[in-house]
Amino acid sequence: MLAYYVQHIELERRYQQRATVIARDLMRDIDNVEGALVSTSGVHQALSVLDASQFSGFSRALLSAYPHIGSLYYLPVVSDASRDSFEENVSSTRFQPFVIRRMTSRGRIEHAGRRAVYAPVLHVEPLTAANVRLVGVDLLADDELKPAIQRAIVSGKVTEASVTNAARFGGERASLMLFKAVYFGFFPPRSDRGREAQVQGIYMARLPLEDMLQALLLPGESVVLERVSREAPKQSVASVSLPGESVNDGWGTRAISKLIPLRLLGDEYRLHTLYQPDRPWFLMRSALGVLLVGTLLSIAAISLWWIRRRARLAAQAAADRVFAEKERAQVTLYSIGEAVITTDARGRVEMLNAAAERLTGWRAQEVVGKNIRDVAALVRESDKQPLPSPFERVYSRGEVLPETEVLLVRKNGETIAVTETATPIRDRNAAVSGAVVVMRDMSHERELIRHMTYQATHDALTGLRNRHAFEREVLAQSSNVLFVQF
Amino acid sequence: MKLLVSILSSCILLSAAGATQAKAKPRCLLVSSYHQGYAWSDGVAAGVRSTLGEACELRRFDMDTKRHKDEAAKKKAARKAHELIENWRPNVVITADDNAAKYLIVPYYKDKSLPIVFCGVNWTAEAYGFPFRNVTGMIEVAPVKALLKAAVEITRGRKALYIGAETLSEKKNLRWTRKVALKQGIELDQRLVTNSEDWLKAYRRGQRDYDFVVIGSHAGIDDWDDDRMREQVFAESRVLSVTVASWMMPVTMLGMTKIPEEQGEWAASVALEILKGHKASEFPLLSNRQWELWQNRSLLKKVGIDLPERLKRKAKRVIDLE
Repeated sequence: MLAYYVQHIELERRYQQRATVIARDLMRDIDNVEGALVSTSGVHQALSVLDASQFSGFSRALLSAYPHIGSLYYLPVVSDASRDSFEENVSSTRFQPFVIRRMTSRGRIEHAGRRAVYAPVLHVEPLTAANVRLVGVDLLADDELKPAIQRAIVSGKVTEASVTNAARFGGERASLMLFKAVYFGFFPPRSDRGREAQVQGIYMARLPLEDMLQALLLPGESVVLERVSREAPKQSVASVSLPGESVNDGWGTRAISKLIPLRLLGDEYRLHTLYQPDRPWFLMRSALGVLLVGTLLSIAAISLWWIRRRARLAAQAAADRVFAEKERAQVTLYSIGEAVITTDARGRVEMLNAAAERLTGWRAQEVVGKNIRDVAALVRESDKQPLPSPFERVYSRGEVLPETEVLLVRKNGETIAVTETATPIRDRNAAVSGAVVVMRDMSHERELIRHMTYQATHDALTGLRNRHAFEREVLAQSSNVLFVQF
Repeated sequence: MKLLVSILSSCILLSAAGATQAKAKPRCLLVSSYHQGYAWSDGVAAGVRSTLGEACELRRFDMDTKRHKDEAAKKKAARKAHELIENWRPNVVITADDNAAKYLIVPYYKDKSLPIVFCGVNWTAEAYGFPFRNVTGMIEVAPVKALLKAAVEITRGRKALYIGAETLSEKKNLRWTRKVALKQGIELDQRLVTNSEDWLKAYRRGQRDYDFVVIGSHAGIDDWDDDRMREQVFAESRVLSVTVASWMMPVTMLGMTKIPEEQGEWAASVALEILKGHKASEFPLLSNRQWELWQNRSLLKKVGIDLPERLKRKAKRVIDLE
């Protein structure tokens, strides 16, 4: 907000300078034309009279040197007494017939009635149809121009009149008419009365005011020129605006207006200047900014979502793999014939498979979390003395225990011969984080051995010891006997 | 139901007609006194076309009175032009040269509502009574004053012979040339002829008895042969010859000629103002002010005339037959 305010102040300051430049340039252009008119009248004065071809050649040079002059006219001042001879003379040269006419306020041209003095258009340059239409038109009879022409005659200076309906004079837009009188005699008269009596004619320059103003404007600027007079305090003379590309390098969108008072050839004018920083461009620039930021944010959000989604999918896949592995391992564990019990780092049961349930007599849900010592107590077969739990041994030794035949005390207190082995589970730091105890029921093997031993040493029919057993026993007893003869 | 359909159809047709009318351009008719291919007429038409541009629909009617000179043919051509105007109803008519003014404007359109802009009327429009309430235009004035002034400056003599065809236009040209010559203190004799032999006889006399010769148009001399006449003139030239007719430059040393495009451009620009709503009577008649300077270097060299530097520099058209 502060930045916007500062920028707007800066724009206002800069535009104050621009408005001053526009007003200065307008005055400069009009001053130039004033100078040109004074020079023209001076040449005319020196030649005493300027014929059509001299006027034409001189005017063409003037129009090319001062492009702000739209047209140049010469209006001889003719008294009523010499009107007829004047009309006849001109008719025999260029314009046929030449008659003094008047223009109505609507732009219609009609025959002029008798007046004391006339100022008809005689020479025009460029010789366009619109300008030639004015030939013979008495501009002293024109209410809009008459005061300025009279002031020009009496003062000897350049005077002006603004014409809003320039179409009457062949212009497309508002025009400023400049007048400069020329007088008979080599030296111009010095008094007002002398000037009025010796006036020969008037030069009139039509300046297309709106074109002049337009040439001074930059895109986004507009001006309204108002004439200040007692009769019409704020008469708008010309209004020009130049829309287009933005020249604004700030962010302000509020119109900036300045009012410059002007003095054009002795008359008061006011120049309203308005600068409208180009709103569409501002909005477009803002929209582009929002679009750009939005696009970047969207790209960032989509990228983040995509990365997170990939990570989540990867984690999900890893978890699925782990789960599948675990499932496979568990199924495998549950499927194998050996009893498997896993513990945590403190020897508490984490899992036991179906074989372990059958072997120990405990259900898994009964023992999970209990110490393995209470679930799978082991005793030595020879003397029935309790043995340390496999976990304790693995934990203390930190290595795989070799397979050992021991007796397992089941839940119901029975003992059963098993072979047991234990393997430590290590974490990624190689520390023991648990153990896997594997036990195999040896009772069947024991029974089989016992049965085979029985069959090997007893007669199948009588159930008595057989000869082989007898001999072995005798040999065992005969360590004290030398010879036995059957 | 039928009634509803017919009402709807009428509405559609009326709106379509209205749209067509809104788009319709104003109509401009150019009536040329002569024919296509005649350089002057084509120049005028080019000026008209370039100025009007797309502002109106332009048609051209050629009266062809240069090739059909009898009175009946001229009147017949004017009648045809009149019929075309009545049928086509142009918003403005532009006429080029005297015959269109004399045979079309004066008998058919004096003070009527149809605005007409003429151009190419030689020297003065007094003979036709212009301007009328509905008629304005540009008068074709040859730069005789400047031409005679230059001839006197070059030859230092003031005795001259005018040679031209025995035609209305040439008589008019002669009258105006005589008027200007009188003002400049030049003694001007004349020979208006009907065939090339008489023309050559007059030319020989001009070489023998005068300071310079003013050459008028050969239009009206039926047996004029460009090559033969050029050769004869080249062989017999002794003194300066001047003309205001560009087509006479092969047999003339110095020429100041009118520009047909200026006539056409002016007439068309006034026509445009009339189409904007101004009346023809608001525009005074005026004369042309542009001209071109020609020099025939072959003839000048043969006679041994060196033009003043001012004229040499200004000459935009140079004929060099060597």
